[in-house]
Amino acid sequence: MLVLGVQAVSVRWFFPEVIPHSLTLQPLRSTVTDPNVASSFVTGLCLSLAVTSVAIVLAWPAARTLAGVGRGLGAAVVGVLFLPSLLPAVGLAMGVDVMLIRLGLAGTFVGVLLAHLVPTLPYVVAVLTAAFARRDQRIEAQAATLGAGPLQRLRLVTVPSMRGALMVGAALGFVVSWSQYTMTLLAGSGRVVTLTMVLFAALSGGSPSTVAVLSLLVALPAGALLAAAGRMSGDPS
Amino acid sequence: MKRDRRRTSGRELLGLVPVLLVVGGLSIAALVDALASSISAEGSDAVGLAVFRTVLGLPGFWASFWFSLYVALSGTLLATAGAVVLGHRWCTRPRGRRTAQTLLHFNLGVPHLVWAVALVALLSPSGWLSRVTSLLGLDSGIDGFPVLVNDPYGIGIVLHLASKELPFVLLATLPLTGVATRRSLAQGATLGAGTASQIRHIYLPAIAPVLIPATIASFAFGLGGYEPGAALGVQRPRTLAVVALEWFRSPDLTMRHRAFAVAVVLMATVALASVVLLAMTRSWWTMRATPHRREGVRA
Repeated sequence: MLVLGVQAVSVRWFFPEVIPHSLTLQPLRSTVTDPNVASSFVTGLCLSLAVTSVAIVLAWPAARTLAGVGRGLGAAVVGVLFLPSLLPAVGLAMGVDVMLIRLGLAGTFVGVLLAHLVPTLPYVVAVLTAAFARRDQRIEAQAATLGAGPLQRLRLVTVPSMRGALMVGAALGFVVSWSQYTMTLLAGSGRVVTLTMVLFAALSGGSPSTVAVLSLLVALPAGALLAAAGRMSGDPS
Repeated sequence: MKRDRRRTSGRELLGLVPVLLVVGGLSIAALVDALASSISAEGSDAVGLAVFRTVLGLPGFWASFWFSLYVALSGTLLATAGAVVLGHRWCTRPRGRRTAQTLLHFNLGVPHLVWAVALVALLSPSGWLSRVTSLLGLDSGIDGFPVLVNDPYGIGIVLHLASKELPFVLLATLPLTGVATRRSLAQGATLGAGTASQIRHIYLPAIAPVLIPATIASFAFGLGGYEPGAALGVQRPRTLAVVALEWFRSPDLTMRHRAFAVAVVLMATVALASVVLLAMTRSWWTMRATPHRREGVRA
């Protein structure tokens, strides 16, 4: 990754120079101001933010239930949720694409959003379920005794007590969605273009410094987000 | 935390529906689609194994199959073994763990495609490592450096899978390496168990419930992931995932059936590998059943 970082700020960095003879921001500037790059960055950002929001909203009630059900049902649901991770990624993306074509959603923003939810939701559900299982339910009961309605309890008690898990779940959801390539390529039918796809196109024919800048644009937000989430969740000790 | 053992109400069960509908619905539909499409041919209603026969008989299919299996198996094996050794080490000697964990989280967040690009920048014959070795006079420049990416032996893909799946497997198993596991390991050490025997008899059974699914998931990605094969592979042999995706995107619709046939072959291989892995690790499960080794989720 560091090598990419150096490559991003150098042009004509030929073998056998270990350190480039001159550094320049020119590739960075020209890549960032490329309208294709800018628009795919915004598309990807909107898409992943939308996927994350929908995933949190859908995962919340599911996780709440999962944290309370018996082992049998819980294992069955978790089994279904992790089925996509046990399927070969290419086959899954192809099958989901055919389903989206049938639903008339292929090549639309909503279609890609739906496709991204398949690999994203399981992780968000898993993070929230673990947090729901650990939390102290008596505080909610106390709030109810003191006369708090369901909405007030959600806003003032449940959500604040789940803040850490929500942030970790959202970070994970964003990263999983942001990293998708095959799923976006097929479900988007070339009409929904994210930064990962621009990077893939640049691999054949783009200059090394452009590829490096694009790689960093794709990787840094996701890597930093997950590193931060990892720090937040801490380790089990 | 103690859970109250009341019955789950219908309204609560309803909360599971949207998630199951999206994830289960789409992935099961994908499975059914793959199966249905692979046993029918374009333009005819006949159902049969004709597409499979064609695909399996194509020159180069088996070369691609064995190549894909070899890179996926090697990558997964290295990743899982690394994750087990490192995880065990963290349990017994936690120094430097926090920094390493942040780095692993960062790696997990880097998309596969970018990681592949980074590997090329580092390991290609004109890459950075090659420049360092030739500066140090270790080899004779570009020609003297071994071909580690885009090589016919899939070294680049294996390295990619090993380095990208190790953090995934390790971070997934961490929640099971709590106090109870560490205490068991310390007991084992007191009783004279060496590192190898601690790992085999205590650590592996303790993390098995997560280690096994995580290993299967990483094997499934190794076999069915497109990016590593596309960015780090060569034209011949190509991985089956690359072949399937190219066929699927071809304007010729008969190729779609072939693509789904390849997807079914990949799924069957993952299923078979899972069965073999579960059979091989049965002894860990029986060891787990011994009550004193049982561990709470967050002990």
